[in-house]
Amino acid sequence: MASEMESSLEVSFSSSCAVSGASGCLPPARSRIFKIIVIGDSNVGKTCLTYRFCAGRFPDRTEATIGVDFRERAVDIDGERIKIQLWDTAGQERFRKSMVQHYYRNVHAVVFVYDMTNMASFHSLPSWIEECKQHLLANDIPRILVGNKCDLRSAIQVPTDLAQKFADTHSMPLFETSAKNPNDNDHVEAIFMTLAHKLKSHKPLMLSQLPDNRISLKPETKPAVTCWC
Amino acid sequence: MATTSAASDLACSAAPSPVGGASAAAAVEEEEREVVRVRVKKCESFLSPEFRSFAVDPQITSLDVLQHILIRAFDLNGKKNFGISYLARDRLGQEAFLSLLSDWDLSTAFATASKPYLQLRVDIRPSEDSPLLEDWDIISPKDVIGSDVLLADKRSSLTTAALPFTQSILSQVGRTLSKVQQVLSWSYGEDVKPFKPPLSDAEFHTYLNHEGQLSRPEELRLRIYHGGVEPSLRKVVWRYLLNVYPDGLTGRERMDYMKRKSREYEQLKSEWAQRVNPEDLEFIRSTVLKDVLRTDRAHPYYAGPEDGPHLRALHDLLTTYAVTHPQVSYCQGMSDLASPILAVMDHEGHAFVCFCGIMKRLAANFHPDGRAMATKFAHLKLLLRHADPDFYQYLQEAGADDLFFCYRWLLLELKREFAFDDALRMLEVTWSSLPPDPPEHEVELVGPPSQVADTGFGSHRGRPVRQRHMLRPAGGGSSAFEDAVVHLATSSQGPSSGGRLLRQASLDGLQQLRDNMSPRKDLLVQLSHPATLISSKSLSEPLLNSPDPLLSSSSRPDSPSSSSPPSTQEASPSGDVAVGSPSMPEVGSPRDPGKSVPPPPPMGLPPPQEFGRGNPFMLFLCLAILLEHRDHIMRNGLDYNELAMHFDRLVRKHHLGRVLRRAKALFADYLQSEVWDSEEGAEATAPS
Repeated sequence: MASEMESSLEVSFSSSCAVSGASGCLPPARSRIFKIIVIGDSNVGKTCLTYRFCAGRFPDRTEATIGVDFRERAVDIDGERIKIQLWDTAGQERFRKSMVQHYYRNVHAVVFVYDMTNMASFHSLPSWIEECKQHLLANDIPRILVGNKCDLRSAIQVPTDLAQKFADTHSMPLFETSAKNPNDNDHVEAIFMTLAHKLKSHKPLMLSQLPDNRISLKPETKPAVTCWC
Repeated sequence: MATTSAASDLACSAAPSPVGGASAAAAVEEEEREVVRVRVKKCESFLSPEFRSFAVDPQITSLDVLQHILIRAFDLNGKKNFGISYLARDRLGQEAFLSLLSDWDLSTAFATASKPYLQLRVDIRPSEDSPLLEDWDIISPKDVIGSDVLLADKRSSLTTAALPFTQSILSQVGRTLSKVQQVLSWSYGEDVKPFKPPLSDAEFHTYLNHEGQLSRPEELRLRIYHGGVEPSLRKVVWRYLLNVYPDGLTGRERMDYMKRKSREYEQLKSEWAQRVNPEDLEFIRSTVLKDVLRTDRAHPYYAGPEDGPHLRALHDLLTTYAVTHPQVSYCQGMSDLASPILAVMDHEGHAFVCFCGIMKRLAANFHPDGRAMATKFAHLKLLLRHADPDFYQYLQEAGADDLFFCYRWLLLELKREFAFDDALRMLEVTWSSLPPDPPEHEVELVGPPSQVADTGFGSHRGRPVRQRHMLRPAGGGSSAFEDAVVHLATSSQGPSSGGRLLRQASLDGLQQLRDNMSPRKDLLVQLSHPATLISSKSLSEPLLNSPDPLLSSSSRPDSPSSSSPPSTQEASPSGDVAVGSPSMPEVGSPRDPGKSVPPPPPMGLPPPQEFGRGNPFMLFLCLAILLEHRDHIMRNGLDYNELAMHFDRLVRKHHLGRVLRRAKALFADYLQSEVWDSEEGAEATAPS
């Protein structure tokens, strides 16, 4: 089972690096790397989301994240290869006191996750945002809000309009998805691809650009994305 | 006489070359430092004596291992009836062969081995088999490295009777070479067999007296350290390793004790509602349940339906612990620690007592202030830099010297890093490396009550919106201000304060080393086997005192200093790290090493009773894993995330045999060098 949690991306990427280095003909072409941290309460589905994006499928089993798990995926955006490193962080308070400095070090973007079927996880968001403000050096780093539906059998407790108001208040775009729903595969993809595009162009996500997000969601869904998995 | 001389000369001259040829460079280096050369003479009724020469590592060679080597070297397969004696000199310089009957005898033999080698004699007892057949048995395939060797030996044995006398001698030499190579490959091979088989039920009973009392707990632990425990025996032996039994219980008393503690557990389990309010209980239960449903579900014991009995038992065990230990409560990761214990005990009450035993040592890992974890990280860094400065420098340049990808390793003592059954073996070996720490009367199943003041694990002046994370929610409109005050207080300490604490800690360390020098000397005289030091009583006393710093730090979680010397010493490394951490975002990566790495203590690595904060061997396991992948990491130039992801993919895939072997060798070096560095310089030259 543990093997299914693996991504083969790293192996092939390392091979590419090794080959380039060995040949000496080309300088090692290292992709631009963006570090994205995914934070939120315990058990809201952070691991499912990150795994879904990097491995392209829902993990059969997850276990409580202790400290931080690392995931990675390389994508091609407008001809340039971008490497996205996702830090899947521990949601429990005790780990964060030890690790929080390292989570935010050299971070390029932040993804806040709550469980749409758990109102308490939504009510925790102000604390997560406050933590983010305290530890981020730059205040123009892209941040997005993701509502994940963890349990398909449970009813949604966080209405979309409530979440949208909250996101608008904090100048963040809102995405709602379900890492477990097979039909939402493209949607999970779009969330991180949108973020990757913004990182590539160095443009911060601002409230005024929300219309752009709506427009860009459509074209980004259609083109096939190179997946190294 | 001519025969004896000829065989002796040939054996001596031939022996060195296979040693050189068979060993890797690293092995040669190890041999120069540790290896004891052994020359063995076999005497058997009317036959001519036989000789064998080989080298062994005294750190990892027990009496059983030596017997295995001799059985192979002399083809004594199936014949157990032989005695071993060693040549010793008394104070008057007279030589005599003394019987070698125990590991202690073997340690004495190694210590008194005269250069250039230790001289042993093997006396074969008379048996009903024909003498000729005894000498020329066909070798079992299991004892032969390859089929070619098997065929060669078969031909040799079949035609030996017809060979002239001189050719018979030559064939014996050939077999000697083969045996030495086999022994060496067995000792230094990549996929090494266990040096000792797991502890069996029959052998376990040799550690109990006629009333069933365990009379030699240190020896039992040393035995398990070298070979582990047979799975069917774990249920019994783990209770000793987890310090469940007070000393001196007879067999019947142990049964009564466990029954009484199980009833006590059932009583506590029925008192959830009386000990916590409904809101807190619901929070604990839901948090525990979420994690239980995703703990080791791939293992058969936990693979059943979500409402199965084993998952319910794990949930109830953890909930009861959280309710009865409000200062610790529940935290993610505890289910990983409890899971193997419950699977082995297969009894909820017994597992709970064992879990209380292990949490007595590990509760500090889950303290919100992170001090215990910070200490372990600091020690792991020290150890890595000490063991491999080049690799450490590489990690520094990659910005990975914080080693935070090892967080889960340290928190869960590597339980999640090995496949489940391998984890069981790794855990029992690690626990057996710790000195016995039995409770004075009983394992306490109830911890201290939660404190009214703003202290302990759950600070209820935390962020108000996340009150569900705190077990004691409290209105805190000024929480942001409080956080700012705490932050300012931490900042105002500054590096000077950290430096002061560090210097004081160094002095305390020196004083403690001096205090411990005397008992260690005595132990050194009695037990020259360095590995035995891990069982010494001098290690027990500091560990027994370890709850005091915890209580002290619990009462003042935000205070970086304390009047209590142990607390000061303990707080210093974490305090230094804590002081360094807030300023990390403001400095560039080149300066991080200066901040995050405290200067090494003057005596090198910390002593065993401090190293790893109660579990030094665990640090060496982590080091062994890092070094196993060192070449891959450096050769491919992995950056921080790449190497962190590399280890992430190795979850439950590490090779237990290789990791254990490397960790034990490194641990033995540490114990030995630590002793030599602390004590007389003259003795330091003895092993080399």
